[in-house]
Amino acid sequence: MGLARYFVKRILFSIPLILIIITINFILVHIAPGDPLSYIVGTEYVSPEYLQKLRSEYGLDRPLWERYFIYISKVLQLDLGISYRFREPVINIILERLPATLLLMLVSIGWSSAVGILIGVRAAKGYGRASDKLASTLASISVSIPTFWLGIILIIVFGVMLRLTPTQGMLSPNFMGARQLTPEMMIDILWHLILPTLTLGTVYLGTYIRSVRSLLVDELGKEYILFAHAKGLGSSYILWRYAFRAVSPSIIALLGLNLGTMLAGATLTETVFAWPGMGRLIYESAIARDYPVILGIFIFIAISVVLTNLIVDMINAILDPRVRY
Amino acid sequence: MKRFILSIAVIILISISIFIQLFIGTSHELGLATVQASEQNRPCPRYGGVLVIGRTDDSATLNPLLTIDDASFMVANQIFNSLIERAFVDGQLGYKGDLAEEWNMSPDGMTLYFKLVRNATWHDGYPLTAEDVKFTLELYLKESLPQSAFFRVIDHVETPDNYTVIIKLKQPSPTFVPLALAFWRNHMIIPKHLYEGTNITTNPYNLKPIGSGPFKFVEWKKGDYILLERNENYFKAGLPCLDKIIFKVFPNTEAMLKALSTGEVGAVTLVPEPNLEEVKSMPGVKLFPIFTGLGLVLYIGINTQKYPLNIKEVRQALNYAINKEEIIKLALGNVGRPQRGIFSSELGPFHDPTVGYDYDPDKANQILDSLGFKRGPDGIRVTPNGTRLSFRLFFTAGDLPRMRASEIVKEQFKKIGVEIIPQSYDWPTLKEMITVKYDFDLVWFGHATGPDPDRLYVYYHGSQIYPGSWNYIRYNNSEVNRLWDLSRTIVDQNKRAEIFRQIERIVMEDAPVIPVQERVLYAAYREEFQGFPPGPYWYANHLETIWWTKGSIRSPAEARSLILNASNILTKVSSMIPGDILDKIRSLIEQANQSYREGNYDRAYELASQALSQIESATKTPTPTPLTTPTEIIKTPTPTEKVSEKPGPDYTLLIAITVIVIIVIALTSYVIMRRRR
Repeated sequence: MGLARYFVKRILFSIPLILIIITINFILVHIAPGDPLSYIVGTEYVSPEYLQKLRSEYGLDRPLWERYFIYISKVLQLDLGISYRFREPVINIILERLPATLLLMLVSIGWSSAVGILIGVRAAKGYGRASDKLASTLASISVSIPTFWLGIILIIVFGVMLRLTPTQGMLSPNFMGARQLTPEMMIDILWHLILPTLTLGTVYLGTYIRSVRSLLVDELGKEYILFAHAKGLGSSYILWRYAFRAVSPSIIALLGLNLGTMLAGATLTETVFAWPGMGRLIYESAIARDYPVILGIFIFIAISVVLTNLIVDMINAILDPRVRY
Repeated sequence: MKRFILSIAVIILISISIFIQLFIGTSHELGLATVQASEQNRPCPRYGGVLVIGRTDDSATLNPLLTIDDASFMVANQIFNSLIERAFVDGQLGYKGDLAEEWNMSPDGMTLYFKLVRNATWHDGYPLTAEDVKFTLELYLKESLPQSAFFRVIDHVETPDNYTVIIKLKQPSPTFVPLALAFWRNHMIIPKHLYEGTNITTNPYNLKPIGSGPFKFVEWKKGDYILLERNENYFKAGLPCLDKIIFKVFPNTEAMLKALSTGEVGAVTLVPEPNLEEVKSMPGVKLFPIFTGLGLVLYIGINTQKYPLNIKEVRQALNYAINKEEIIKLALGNVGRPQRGIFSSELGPFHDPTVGYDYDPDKANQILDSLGFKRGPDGIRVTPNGTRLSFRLFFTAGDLPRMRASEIVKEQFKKIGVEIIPQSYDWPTLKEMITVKYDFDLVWFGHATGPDPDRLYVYYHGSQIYPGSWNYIRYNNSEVNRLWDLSRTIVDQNKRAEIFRQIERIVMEDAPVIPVQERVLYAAYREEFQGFPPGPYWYANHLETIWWTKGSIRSPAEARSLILNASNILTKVSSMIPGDILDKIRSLIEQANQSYREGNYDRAYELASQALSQIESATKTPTPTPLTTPTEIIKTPTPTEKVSEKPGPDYTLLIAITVIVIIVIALTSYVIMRRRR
């Protein structure tokens, strides 16, 4: 019962949170200088009557507060509006980009968390020894390496010099427009995925190594571990069954944090590799002052962050009864 | 822990497959349409191939009537046709019929006749008639469209029959044909049956257009790519040469050029000036000028209403102080020519080559001295009322050539005691600052005339000063206004040229701008593709004659008709052929179809002719003994064997990935096993 009440409370709290996020974003987006129409028009001559027509069609001739209430009421009806740039429902534009971003992020977070946890555990076990120092060095390098630089270097080495991998995009031309997913096409996508995911995963890797290592080192120094050793349990058994289990809520929280921001994509990586994901969409829409798309993405990200936090909290609540109260 | 790792792995695998599946989504059905067999015209040396064109901007819309930017026009021009288009005619810049077979203008300049081709159809099979043309032209008048202003001179459109269009003008117009009908913005014809009675801005066909052009729309992944494929029923016989065109968007020039060097793209829409040398050195890549006769001029716009820039002599001094050659050489790619006036030399008689200012810093200093602007302790001049001659020079953020050029301008102006502070903003911000708030001193800008100088009306005519307009320099000279209005009533080109030369002289005397460069822009292609440039302005030309050197010699129509022929004969005589041979022939035809779909027309043709000869031999031999014939067939190099010869990089890839996965699993289990011990 307590668990259910806790969940309901958490969900109800999320709703005003999302509304506040929408409001702040709406204000931020609109106080940026520049007129959305100036991107659409570019440096061309366009008849003033057409501009006027666009302005009223997009509601840009109304006062800001009026636009705000129209927007909120539309969002409550699950309508994110029409993109200024493409004249297509925002939701379609976002959904079109979503799979590419999720694929990139899931694979990157997946491999980096798996490898990072393994290396982190190894480092904590060999605390102070060579393997620990090696792991720490690796973590420092991975955290401090600039994404775009790593991406460009990988492209130059594997794409341009060795001609092993494609340098750009997600799909080879001959698979574009395909009706269904064939095994060849999946391989093609995976082939395009290698460099971006290597780049992005490297950035996450260091975070996982560091957190797991420091969490475990703390945990292994506790008295119950000493007691377990005294009981004569094997050190691997203690490491995994006692220490790792004790720190796993923190690791799940970290994973949740990364997965929550996953929808935002990775602007730099996506830009370097021309990956058709959300990160690039945010960037392009901001340049074009495509307010509905920017706001739509922010709402998506906000909801996903709130939801993942909710889920992480729930998992922790199930794992750890203390959280519930 | 083992379970932990395992479950993570399983989750990742499942999610990958789910999201790849999602990514594919629904898409266009690739079907084989029937093609007339009688086609003998062969304008293409080779057929087939996929051209990927790299660019840094995506299209905004595919409806040509709503199109504003180059990126949108370029794609729309492949899907739609216009009445006439600007083209090279016998090596000279002129007009060529597109949908119009013949056209002419009445002597009084009030009536234009167009005779349309009779075999043009929309991609959905409907015929394209004069009604569609009338409907499109009337839309320009009825609706507020981006290009509507150029069509206002139309009085009405008549269609005496299905293939004749007569445009009646309100008054003779020297600019109607060059600016409205066939500027670099060709006005294109849209289908009446899909647009009539709908809201043009929200019509769903804006996003999946049905046109009449050489290529059909297949798929648009916004911000990623647009896929077009051959229109098998294109009204120009034997065209287009390519099978598919893909317009692929890159996040920046560097990424695009890298893809050009690796061959991932076959052409790029634009090579910015700083990258010209890099592209020149790429093996197998060639540069070509994007346009002929566009009249693109790069200049520095001056805020003519802001003290002290509102003083004519100050603006003249700035003009004297600019060394255009140096700027072009050091910052602007060393291409194009120094520009002296507001009109480009490409306009011929409309431009006065003697107009403008030579580089003369001494004279500039003299002028500023005579105005009483004395140099302060830091070498920067100060006006009598204490204003420092310090100006901000704006350029669009990320525009490398203009950024470098600004630094050179800064050095050049230092010599005459004027300080320059280069500043950059993103385009929407910059546009608001210069055209709405008028909060600027100097700004890098460009304008293009196309075939007629009247296009610059909105930049220099006094009536065009209002917030958001292109006369952001707020230049207003009553004599220029009068002459410009006069020019619009005259049809005689010699008289108009004289008026425009006079306008240019007056404007340059007032010096509201500092002309710098007559620009030449370049694009690049890989040599596997031929036929560049496709016309005088490649954003506005059909890419129908560009061909792939590795393509098929047989045209798709030839291959298709042979396949149809073979299968028709087969259905007629199938009862005469024993079952096993029948299967063999059927599979040959199926393979021919497969090759056709893959765009290998030579192979499809060869397979179909093999099928035909097998049908022939099977029907000629009265009762083939069941023992010999199959063995014969096995002996002949069957197409299936050839197909399997095709090197399969995908298999090596599959193996490589499998090996990697096995290694990873082995390592993981090793580590886990060690922990157990």
